[in-house]
Amino acid sequence: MTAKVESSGADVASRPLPLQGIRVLDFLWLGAGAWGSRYLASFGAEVIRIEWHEKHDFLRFNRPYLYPGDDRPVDDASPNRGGHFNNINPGKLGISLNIHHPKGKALFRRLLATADVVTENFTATTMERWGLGYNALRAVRPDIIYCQQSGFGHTGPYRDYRSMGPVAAGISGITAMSGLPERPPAGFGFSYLDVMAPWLLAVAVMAALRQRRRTGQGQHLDLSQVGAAFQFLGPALLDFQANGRAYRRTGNASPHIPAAPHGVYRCHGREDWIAIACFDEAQWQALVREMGNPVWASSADFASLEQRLAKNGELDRQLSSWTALHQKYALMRRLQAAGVPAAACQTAADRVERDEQLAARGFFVPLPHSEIGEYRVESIPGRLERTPASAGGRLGRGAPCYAEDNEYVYRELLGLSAKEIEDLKRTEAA
Amino acid sequence: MTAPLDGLRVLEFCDQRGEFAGKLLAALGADVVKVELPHGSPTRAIGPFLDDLPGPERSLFFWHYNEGKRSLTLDLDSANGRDYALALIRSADVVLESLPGHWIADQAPGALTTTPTLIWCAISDFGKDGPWAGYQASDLLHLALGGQMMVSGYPADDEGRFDAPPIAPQMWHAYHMGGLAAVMNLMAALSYRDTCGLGQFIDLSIHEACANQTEIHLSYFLAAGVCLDRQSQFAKSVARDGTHMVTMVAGFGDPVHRILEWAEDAGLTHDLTAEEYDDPAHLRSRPGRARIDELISRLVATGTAGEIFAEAQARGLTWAPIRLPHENLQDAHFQFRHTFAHVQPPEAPGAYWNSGAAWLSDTMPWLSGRPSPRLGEHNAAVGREWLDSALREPN
Repeated sequence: MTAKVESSGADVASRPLPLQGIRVLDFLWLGAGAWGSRYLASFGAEVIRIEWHEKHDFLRFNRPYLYPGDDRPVDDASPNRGGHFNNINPGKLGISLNIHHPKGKALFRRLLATADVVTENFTATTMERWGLGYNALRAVRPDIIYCQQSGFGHTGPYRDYRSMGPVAAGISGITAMSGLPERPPAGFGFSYLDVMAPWLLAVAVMAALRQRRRTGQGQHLDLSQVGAAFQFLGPALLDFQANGRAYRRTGNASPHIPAAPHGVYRCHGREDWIAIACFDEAQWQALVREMGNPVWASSADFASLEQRLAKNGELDRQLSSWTALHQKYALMRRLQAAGVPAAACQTAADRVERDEQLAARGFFVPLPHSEIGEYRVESIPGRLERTPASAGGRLGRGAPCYAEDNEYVYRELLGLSAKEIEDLKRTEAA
Repeated sequence: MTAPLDGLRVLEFCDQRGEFAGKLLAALGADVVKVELPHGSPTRAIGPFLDDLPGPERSLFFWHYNEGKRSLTLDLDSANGRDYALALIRSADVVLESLPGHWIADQAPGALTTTPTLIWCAISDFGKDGPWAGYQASDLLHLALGGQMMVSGYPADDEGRFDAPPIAPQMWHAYHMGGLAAVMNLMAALSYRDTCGLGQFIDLSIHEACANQTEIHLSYFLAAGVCLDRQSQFAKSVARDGTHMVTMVAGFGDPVHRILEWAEDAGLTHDLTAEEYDDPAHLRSRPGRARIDELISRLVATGTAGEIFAEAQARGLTWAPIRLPHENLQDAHFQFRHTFAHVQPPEAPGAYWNSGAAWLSDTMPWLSGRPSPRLGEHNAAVGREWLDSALREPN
């Protein structure tokens, strides 16, 4: 049985982690992108977020705010209480550095000489304009791994186009594929590609590290958030070309693995739902038994999967009137025990407070934070038995306060004196 | 150009829960051998099918999720088949398995003891332990439990009422989330093995992958105890050709100002001012949002999707058309970036465009354009290559 893993600093420091010894200079900010380096940190890389107060990551200031659990004073103007920021960036270090200042740029180059990876998700020409494009980077560190992820990518007619989650999902096809056939597209209720593309970025960085181990060469990777989507869209692309058929929305139906019933059904409560899917006769018969063998279910209209599919609407109506009498979790447990695939539709609150599986697996992890005290994050999916990931990275810590790790990076890593650091601060270089 | 996983031997025992992970590993250069029962993987029966005629080489699902792999058939119910499987495992670098409860899943502890360099990634619906470990799931059920469904679909009206149930995003996204999470963990495990020679077991729960994937919804609740409802995709406006457009009023620069400027240039009358939107709360309010949305609708209706897209982006607005996937095949941008690759699947009358490069790089390729395998196509080759080199160094 894979054990729950604690994430406290002392405990993590003694554990082997897959990416220990790897240093990442991280310009990934906002939502899309920043998740990618979170996973690198959780696998043990030292991820140093480089920030400058003149253009703050606005997620530092966005609601919802985290509040300390105790009665310590709270500064409303603090850049450290943004809930999403703290959720996306645990385990990373944070320094303030003005790379537009000559001394700041010089410091960056010194850090670069010691780094393995540079990551960023700025618009396409930004790093080049700052004199920090790939050629400039590898002049300092020849085997640097430079991984960029922008909306549409660093080349092509849409290189300078603006993208955010809904744009990426809209143009690629993700949005159009979800919803009801006779209504406009509904899509995902959040920016799916904002987290999926960064997962791909984490894979890309680890693949590049491997490539470098084997060839000795640095790597330059150009990723596009919109481009990532097409990895998930193969069947729709192929159906159009092979069969001349444009994708048509199907709501919650399962046209490609026939099933009936297959959908969501109201449970007792204002907006409580359960998803039920019967793919074979055994599952259907088990459902019928659980319903108490109602007369309607034994009708010839529902005797086979084909017939149930033909009478889909009536089947759903009958099933709904039964599910409406039950609480969603009680019904899920009961149906699963009887061999019927059933799942409560969970909200965020449900996942945090009522999902017994996530609780048993230690999915929500408390992490220390200098200003807030402690807060919870979701852990990394996947249990590595020998080298479990740490939600708080090597430090076993939540997201960095702004400039929190200046002392460590400037004093310990770069050997600057206290006076030099004070000068940098005074001249707005760091 | 060598690929990052060149030479890496991956033995795959997977249904739809794990095939996407295997496909990604193949694209990274691994030799992914898919073990199938003699009558074929059940995923060969998942539609749609070429010409809508089912057949083991005609499943478009199988074509996509198994590109670049090799196929080997084994009767895993027979003693001979099981011995052969164990011999292949001894020769593998990675076992990718998504068949919990099957004999093959039970072989993990023994295999890892026999071969300490082995990485065994077990993908299951809920993980190896916990109260739901034995539960059944499906794509729909994962999106219900993962939280996607409760925030997707058609948003409530002004009185907070819904007129449609929660709707699962389509198609197969639970397995995209599980598969990509599995590959992330596999790459980390490979990193560790590269440095110290030790493999390990990976327990991948699709449910945990999905629960991780609702972007701001969990962080909103964890911070503020608030559950957000279904969120709009900013897709209400319709261009002259009937295409819905994503029309965000967000991002850097002053989008409201730019929209008003464009409206003026287009000769549209209105009574909005940029100043009223100086307070961001006004844009978030229903009347404030409604006023700008009405103007945006009229603006979008003045051109085709292509015209509005080009004009909006030229003016620095974060807008785009809502397309179906295939509508991007002719787009010069995606062609330029090798977003699609030509592939000729088994039994297809010709080559089709399918997903191509996930990144562009001069030194690290993403392998695409290699068809999915015919059933048992590589039985002889794999036997020859994998089993005659049992004494080779681990990769």
